[in-house]
Amino acid sequence: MGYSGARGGLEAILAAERLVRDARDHAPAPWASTEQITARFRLAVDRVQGEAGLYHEPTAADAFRQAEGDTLEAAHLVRAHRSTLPRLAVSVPVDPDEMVVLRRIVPAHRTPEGPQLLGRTTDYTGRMLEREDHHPTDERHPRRLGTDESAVRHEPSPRQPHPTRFSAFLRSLDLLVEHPRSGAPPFDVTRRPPRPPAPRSAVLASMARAETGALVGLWYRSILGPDGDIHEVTLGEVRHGHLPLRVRHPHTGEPVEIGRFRATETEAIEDLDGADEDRTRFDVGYGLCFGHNERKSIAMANLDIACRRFGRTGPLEQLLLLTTDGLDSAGFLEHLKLPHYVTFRSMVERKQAMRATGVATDPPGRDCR
Amino acid sequence: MTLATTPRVDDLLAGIDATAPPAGILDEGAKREIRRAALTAVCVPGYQVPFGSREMPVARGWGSGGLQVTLGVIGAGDTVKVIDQGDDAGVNATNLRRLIAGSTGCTESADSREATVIQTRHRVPEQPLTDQHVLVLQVPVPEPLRGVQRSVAECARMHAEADYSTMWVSLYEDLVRNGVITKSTGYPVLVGGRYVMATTPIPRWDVPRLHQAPHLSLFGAGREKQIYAVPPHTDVEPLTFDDVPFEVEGADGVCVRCGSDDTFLVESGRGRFACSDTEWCARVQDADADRARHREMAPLHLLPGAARRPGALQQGHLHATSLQQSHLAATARPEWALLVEGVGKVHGPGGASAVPAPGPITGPPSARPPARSSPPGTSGSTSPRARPSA
Repeated sequence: MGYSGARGGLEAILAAERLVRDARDHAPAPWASTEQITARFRLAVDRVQGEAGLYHEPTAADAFRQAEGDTLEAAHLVRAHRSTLPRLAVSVPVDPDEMVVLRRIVPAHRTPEGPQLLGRTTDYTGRMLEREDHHPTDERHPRRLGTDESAVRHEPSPRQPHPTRFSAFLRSLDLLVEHPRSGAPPFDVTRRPPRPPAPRSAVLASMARAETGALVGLWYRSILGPDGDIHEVTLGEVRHGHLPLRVRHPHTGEPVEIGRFRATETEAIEDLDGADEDRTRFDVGYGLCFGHNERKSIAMANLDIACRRFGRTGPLEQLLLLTTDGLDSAGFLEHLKLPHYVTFRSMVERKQAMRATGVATDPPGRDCR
Repeated sequence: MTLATTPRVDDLLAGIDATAPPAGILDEGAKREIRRAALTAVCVPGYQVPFGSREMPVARGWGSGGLQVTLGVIGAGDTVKVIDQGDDAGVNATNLRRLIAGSTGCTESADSREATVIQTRHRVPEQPLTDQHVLVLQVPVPEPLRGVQRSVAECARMHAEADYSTMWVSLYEDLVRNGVITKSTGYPVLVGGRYVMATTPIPRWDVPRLHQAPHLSLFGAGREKQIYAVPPHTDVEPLTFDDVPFEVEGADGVCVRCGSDDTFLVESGRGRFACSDTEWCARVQDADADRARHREMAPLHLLPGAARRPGALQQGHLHATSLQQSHLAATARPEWALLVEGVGKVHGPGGASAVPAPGPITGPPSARPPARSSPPGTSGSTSPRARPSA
């Protein structure tokens, strides 16, 4: 019989798994049910849904609990789960104008058409730490119908606004650059690897699934860093609300609403100033992501317009397509923990070979690497 | 619950789950896609075939590409071996092996002679492989040109046009600066006389074993979403110059366990060495290995040796040190060099209509370069500074 390798590795793995499970599942504290997590850690759940690219609150909540609150790890669990599922249907494109808004602000206008609806936000709440002895307020304030995130109804009542976009107002004043619509179906980043040059839909889809922090970091670099890809952006819309999910009925072929999901949407208005741009008009960048994640959606809208302007003349398009996915970047970073002694041995050998030649002195000039 | 209709969706999914075969890691559509990509890769040796890489239960960077390829080609009748750094017992190898065996029902083995599919992180087994084997290599960075060209669009163009001049220049510069080619693992090779390919980061020791090999090598890069292949009996030539021999890793010692001097050795502490391939090492100790056949295959003729390095480089040519010891008086300032960078972004689609942008990069108008024109077809390049001015 042939060689059978040592199996010490397996025992170590199983022991590590036991440690994780025991400490997590038997911590001396009440169990966090899925409902607890969706109700009390809404933003974390939304972040997991967005970065996983799968909208299902209980699934994201279970992943969040299993990952002990690591949102990226939770997104990984959800995406790996998604890989095991067949694709049943492709939804019909939804018009974001159908969004039933829970929150909507227009920073670019004092009194826009439709409401400035502050909604559920801590933007203007003092960041005062509420300690352990803090108790929930006794009284629950009655909520106006339509502002409750869990109360989804199929037919929006007339009171539920579908406010006109600020960009539509700009368009009516002929202040927006018009782009030809591409009739191409959207690029599916889960089935084809997007590579520059890629259609805008590929960049948008990549950003919609990107890690929030990666987008925020890239946004900050683009506005204040050496690239200067963002000039003078003003937000035209920031919205959070419900959108319908429709698929074509397999028999009738008619679109049927099979559910709703929450999304955050942003329009970012850029002041065009380029030599070959229409400097008498503005252009708009667009951001949309699952759940309530304004940071991500705003960064996305800003980077969308930056990519449209400078994506191909600088590295931005490649950065957005290939470096913002959380699973990619975190996985590659963490793989450094794996043994690397074969590659390192090879590097040591070259150092010694170089030393043996006695030539290793840098001539002037710089290596392009 | 946010989804008012969730129960219905859940019922639907539950119904599907009930009729589905036991949970796999990949759905069948994905496997089919991977097989198609692998077949394309076999048809175009060394060409990177994009595929819709799925998320795996292991992190990207941890063998997710190799795992997808393995799951795509393996069946219940196969026997799988997984090694990491040549070691069957490495924790990552163990983890991947149990995932593969657990989800496909195939047999596990640590013996290369029994295995039909060998997934490996960065080694080719010392046991000579045959046409019964499929070697699946995990690839972190599939693009061999990334070191010399940061733009993936430009890399794609270079491959398409077989324009590997930058690669050759970088090897030449390496040689001139360092006296040897310092590329350690993942050495670039020319496959089938057409595509330059990254040999994952396998050590140079293993590179000759891909040349005209009887087995099929499939390379899976999950994070980078590419699959490429070296079919059996294909030329795999390391990029080097006529008068500069390709060198494999040499070690100043023999394996401390089995005494082999014809295997890839890694440090094992206190200045000693050991085989990185634990299977081969153990079998040599048990006298269960065909050492003569292995020795024939071992790239001993490519071991480094100053004697075999080009004398021309040592004597005939001016090398870097002698260039610096010129007759000119030494100055405190560094030698001059051409460096153009930060030329700035351009507006528009590029090409002849590209116009430099105002803004902090290009500075005040007086300091701004005149409108530059680029050769058509380079608008995908992300590196304006690498582009020649007209």
